[in-house]
Amino acid sequence: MESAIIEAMSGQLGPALVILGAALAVGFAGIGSAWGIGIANEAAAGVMTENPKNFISSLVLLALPGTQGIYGLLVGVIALYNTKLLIGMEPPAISIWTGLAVLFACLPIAITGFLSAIWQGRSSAACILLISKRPEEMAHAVILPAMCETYAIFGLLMSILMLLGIKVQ
Amino acid sequence: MAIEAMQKIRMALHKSISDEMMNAIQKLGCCQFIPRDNGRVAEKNVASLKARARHLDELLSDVRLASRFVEPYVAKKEGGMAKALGGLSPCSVAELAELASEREFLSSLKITRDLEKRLSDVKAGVSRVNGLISVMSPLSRLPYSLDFYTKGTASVQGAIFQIAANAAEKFMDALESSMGENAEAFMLPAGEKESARFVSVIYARNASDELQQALSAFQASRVEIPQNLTGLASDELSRLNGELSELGLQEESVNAEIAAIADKTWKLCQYCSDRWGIEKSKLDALIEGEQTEQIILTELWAPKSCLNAFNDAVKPYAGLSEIMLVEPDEGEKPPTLLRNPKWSKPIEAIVKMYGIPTYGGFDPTSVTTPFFYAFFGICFGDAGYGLLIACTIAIILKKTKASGPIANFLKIILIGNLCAFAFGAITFSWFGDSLTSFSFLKPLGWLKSIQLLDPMSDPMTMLVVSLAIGFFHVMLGLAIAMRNNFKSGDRLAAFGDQGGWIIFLCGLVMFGLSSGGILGLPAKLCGTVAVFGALVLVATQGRGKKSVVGKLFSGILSLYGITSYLGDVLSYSRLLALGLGSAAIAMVVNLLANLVSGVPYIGILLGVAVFAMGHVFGMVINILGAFIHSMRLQYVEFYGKFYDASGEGFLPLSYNTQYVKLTD
Repeated sequence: MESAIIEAMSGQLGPALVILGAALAVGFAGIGSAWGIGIANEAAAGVMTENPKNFISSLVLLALPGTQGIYGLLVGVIALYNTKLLIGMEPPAISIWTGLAVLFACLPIAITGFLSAIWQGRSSAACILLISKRPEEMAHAVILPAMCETYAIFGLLMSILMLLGIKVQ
Repeated sequence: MAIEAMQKIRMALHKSISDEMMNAIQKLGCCQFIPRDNGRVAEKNVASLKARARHLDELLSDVRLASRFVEPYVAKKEGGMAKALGGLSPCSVAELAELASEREFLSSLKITRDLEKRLSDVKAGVSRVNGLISVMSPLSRLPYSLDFYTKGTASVQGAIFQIAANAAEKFMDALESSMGENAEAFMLPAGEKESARFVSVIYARNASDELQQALSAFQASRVEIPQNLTGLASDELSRLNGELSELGLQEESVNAEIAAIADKTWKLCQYCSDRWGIEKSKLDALIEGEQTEQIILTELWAPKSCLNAFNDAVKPYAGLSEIMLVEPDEGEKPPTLLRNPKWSKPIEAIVKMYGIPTYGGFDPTSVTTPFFYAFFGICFGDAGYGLLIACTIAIILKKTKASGPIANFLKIILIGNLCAFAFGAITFSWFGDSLTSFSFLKPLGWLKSIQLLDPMSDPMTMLVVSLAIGFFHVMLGLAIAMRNNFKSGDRLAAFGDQGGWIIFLCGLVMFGLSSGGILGLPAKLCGTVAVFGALVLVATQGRGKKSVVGKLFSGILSLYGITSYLGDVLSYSRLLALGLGSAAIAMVVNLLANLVSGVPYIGILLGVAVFAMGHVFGMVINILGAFIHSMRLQYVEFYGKFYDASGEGFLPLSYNTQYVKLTD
């Protein structure tokens, strides 16, 4: 009886864990991006009170923390694509262990995306203030926040490598 | 890939020809004047030049003020982008001098200042009347004349107090109990939601002490009524509203007058700004020279390749001038002028954004060019996006007269997108997976035959390619640093600091590859190469230390630097990550477009809209990331190895105009 229940649960829990992993990757990386952009937005609005022409240069900088959300989306899509849980695909049987593996594989980008986007937002905010005073420093100002993104890229890479290493029957 | 050789020139010219000669040099546009110590120059020798410069400064300041004033009223104002793409209107120096007449500008300035004063008076009036209206509005139902509250009578005085709504009743009670028949107080009607109440108090002048006593317990403030308001508050309010309407009409009329002259004045200001800007830069260059009563002694830098043209330009003034080619002073560094071939010229802007190469150093423009475009192509990585953007930019460049930095930027994006097209083609990414997602695009499936890589299903190969490119790029950076050290004569640094690392790292990689059976070399040999490189590092990296132990310790510790090289190479994994990011967004867009296309009746339309908007979003987001990260890989991982960007840019005296393009 118990084994029948566990077997039935396994059939449901595997896909659920995959979906949880994809949701965490997209959700956390997305929250981080929104948070980071929000921080940068505050600085952008501040410098625009002095000179509305700062809008265009600020726009480039405040878009930077948005990339982590895209990385999260990428991992989410790969997780669903690999386990054939995307619309229009025939999903195979996914075991609990496969589901857990996919869930864990989604964590690097969920965590690094979330935190690095917030710190990148803070760097962007500081750089927005910099270019409002010294517009000629735009090139350097764009590079500084990109430094934070490196670790989200490593998280993304690890998530992708883990996901593609998981064999789904 | 070259920095222009500079020649220092010393020039003595008679003041009578200084203006003409400087015009010729400015027209040539290849000489940067060197500021000299003018402390010893008698003030009378430069007085006339300085007076002219001051006059021009004043004129330019007036031009800025006038153009700032009329700018909001200009009807035919070109946007910055339109101006950059449309090119500047062509004009000769003589035509510019004619267009920018000082007399015409001064008369236009007089009109502008008059209008500015009238407008500011009207606005001050509006602000004053609005202030009075805001004071009087709550008092509109006051039954007595206002002079009763401002002047009063011989024995009675009126006053109005503002108090918080929740304390108003208590205030009334306090007034009644403390002043009795000496005062008559009533509260002006107010809306229930208003937080303040206005209380009118008419009191006997001899009871003012009792009033103060009653007031002391409350935070009531006395409303100051202007002395010139004497009638009933309601009458005064209507009069003020009438005055406000009158002022509004006046403002409209002044605005119409400004709008009528705005276009002409704006254009005139642009011509004057360019003409006097040219004149001012010429005067500044002259003032920087050493002055005697008759002679100006000055020094300048000119590229050696321009010396013939320079000699031709100054030849007509040979009788009253003397030119000497001199050596730079000790420790004096000439400015840096980059001279690159056409194919790498646009990338100069990216190099300069990092910093200007020091004179005599290495200009990394040409070596940056292929890597920047390749990185951009890999990061953007979609053939459809690349082709679409490249075609759009090619049309813009063909149809418009874009020039200068904008044209360079567009060329960078154009070539970068051509690389993205090529990379997308070999990874079979055409607007993501659209060729397999949409059945009507199946006939284009033959494009799969040119696919060489599939990063989505086989990212490991692409990761290895990215890291291999990164390793090569980092090694190239070290090789350039080694070449720089050799050139400067520091052979030990070249061999130890860069050679050691190149041997060590290449040895390690070869050892790994041959151990894994990928490279057909004996692993032992490769290992020996790596050990040799490590020994070179241990032997040379502590050479700054005095003791043998210190040298050995520093040398061994330097091997820890391998972690920074590992980090640098791993950083190139972003090429794969960003490329995959573009593909994933495109894939999601295609998926959504496919989903909505199933909606009855409007499905196709919705599908097309989602496809178009989604891919435009993808293009904008990814092009930004591709540009920034391609730039970052150059700045941080590559330039960090060798680039000395402490040079000063070459800023020649030239026709530097903002609004017209001089044809001379």
